[in-house]
Amino acid sequence: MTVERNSGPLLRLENVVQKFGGLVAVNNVSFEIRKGEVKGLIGPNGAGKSTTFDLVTGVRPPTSGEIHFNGIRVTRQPAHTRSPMGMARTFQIVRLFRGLSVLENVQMGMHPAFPDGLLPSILRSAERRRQEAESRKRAMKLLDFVGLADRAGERIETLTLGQLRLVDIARALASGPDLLMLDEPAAGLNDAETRNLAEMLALLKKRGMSMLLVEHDIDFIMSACDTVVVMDHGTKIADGTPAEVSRNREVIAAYIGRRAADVTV
Amino acid sequence: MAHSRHIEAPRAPTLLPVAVFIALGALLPLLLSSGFHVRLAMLIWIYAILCMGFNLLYGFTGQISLGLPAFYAIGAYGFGMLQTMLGFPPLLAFAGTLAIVALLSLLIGLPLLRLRTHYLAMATLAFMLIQNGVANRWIGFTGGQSGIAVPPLEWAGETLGRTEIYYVVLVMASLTLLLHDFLIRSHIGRAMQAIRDDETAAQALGIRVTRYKLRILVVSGVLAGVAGVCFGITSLRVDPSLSEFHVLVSVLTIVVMGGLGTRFGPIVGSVIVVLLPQFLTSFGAFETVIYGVFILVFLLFMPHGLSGLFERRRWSLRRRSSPQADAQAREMRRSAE
Repeated sequence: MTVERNSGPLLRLENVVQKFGGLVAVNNVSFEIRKGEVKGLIGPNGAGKSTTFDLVTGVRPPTSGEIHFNGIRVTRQPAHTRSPMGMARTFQIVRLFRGLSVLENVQMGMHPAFPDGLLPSILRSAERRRQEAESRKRAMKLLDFVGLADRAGERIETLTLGQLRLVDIARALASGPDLLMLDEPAAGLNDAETRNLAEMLALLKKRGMSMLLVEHDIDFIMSACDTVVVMDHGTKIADGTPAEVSRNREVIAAYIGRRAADVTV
Repeated sequence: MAHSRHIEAPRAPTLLPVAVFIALGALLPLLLSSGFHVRLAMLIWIYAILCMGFNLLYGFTGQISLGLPAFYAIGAYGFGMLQTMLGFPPLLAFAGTLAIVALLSLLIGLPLLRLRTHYLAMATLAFMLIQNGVANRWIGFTGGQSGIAVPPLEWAGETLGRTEIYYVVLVMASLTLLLHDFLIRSHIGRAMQAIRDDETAAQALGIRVTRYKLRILVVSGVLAGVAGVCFGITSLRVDPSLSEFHVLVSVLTIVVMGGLGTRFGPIVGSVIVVLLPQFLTSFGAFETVIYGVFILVFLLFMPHGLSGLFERRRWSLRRRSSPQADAQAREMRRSAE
């Protein structure tokens, strides 16, 4: 098992298909993410990127095909099993917990590390207190990393959209993931916020974090990613470095139109 | 991230206010002169126990069980009937009663909690109607309208007096308060609120949503059972009125007035709901009207209830960060590399 873990790709999708009734939303898609790789997933509206993202994060199981993470088959594992395995995600629509403080939201990322039973949880043993203190400290560090340490005690509704996205990322990082999956992290951000986000992702990448990035913003994804998968109408049409992909005829056709592709190439 | 700036995490809440509530409760009988007042104080604690369960389930986990009064009634009936019909000693009857309400909660919750909230609300409400029907009509078993007698508590062959019974109820309420407080201040409490606020995100973070809902449903059922047992030992009689709608209305009023999802809302709310009608009796025919207006005013102007007023204040007092602070943080990250 260990050999397989160390040698194989971190995430592998094999001929993944998702049908909704007669509609094939994801058609036979395969790709891999190596350790330390930042992979972008792009495509025009309705290309099937969000559905693919849902399959990887376990929102629903695919109609057919296989998904492996760290050499383990996770195809049909429910969403709540992914975080303890080392897969963490953020959400396109901010899904933070309104009733919790900023700090507590980040602490939620560490939930699977805490004991599951009710009794060991409420009997505040020295061990439990130490774990809680540790978790607060770690959450503060992560908030410091995203530049929001001074907002730790505040409620979620006092933050701007850009700050909420950062808290979401801090919460995902709190689980200590091997793979960070970001669902349109730049959507709705202004230029300064987008630059701030890009800087942060570059820093994470420098530290060896593997990422899957679904994005609309082409410039953002081209600068942030090592490799890019392009989807159109549920099918993968290209997979390569940003430079390779942006020269690809089919990609240009999908984005700008058939005739433009003929002219450019 | 090895830079010199140190921002401390905000302080976690302490146990101190819990100790204050318990101490006040312990001193209360010394201040109260009449037996009627002691009885009111017991009623406050009994409602507080019942509503802490409801608060955990609805206020913190976001699941509505409208059938809580049924578990309250079963607690009282069970405690009496296990003693009179099966000859259980009081402690065993207490344990047996809690086992019964826990099992019933589990049976109701298992098929329902995978569904969204209103199914649980409707099904538990139906359960309450059934329970009330059985209590009223199965006269041979439950004594019908007139109910059953609950044997008085004894210690060394002597029946406990009113003040002693008050302390028994206080011990139960204190244990419930400690459970309530430890739960909501632990990571379990955070997980419960996460489920209430966003199930999808909670699931993505590795929280086993259905399992948590089921556990808290059982805890709330057991607490309702404890409240029922306390009612039994204070009034020595149980009848079907324990699971009638007015009890449900009282529970809802208490949690709304006290503050849903707050640490001490159920206690503060119970004090108001038990004492307010006593002060309003002088208004005669207008009593109910004024009571209703009170509830409306609370709903309109204090959506987080009385307890929420104090517990949430600290959030709003914190200063907001400025664009300079954001830029500073970015600079800091850059220099950290």
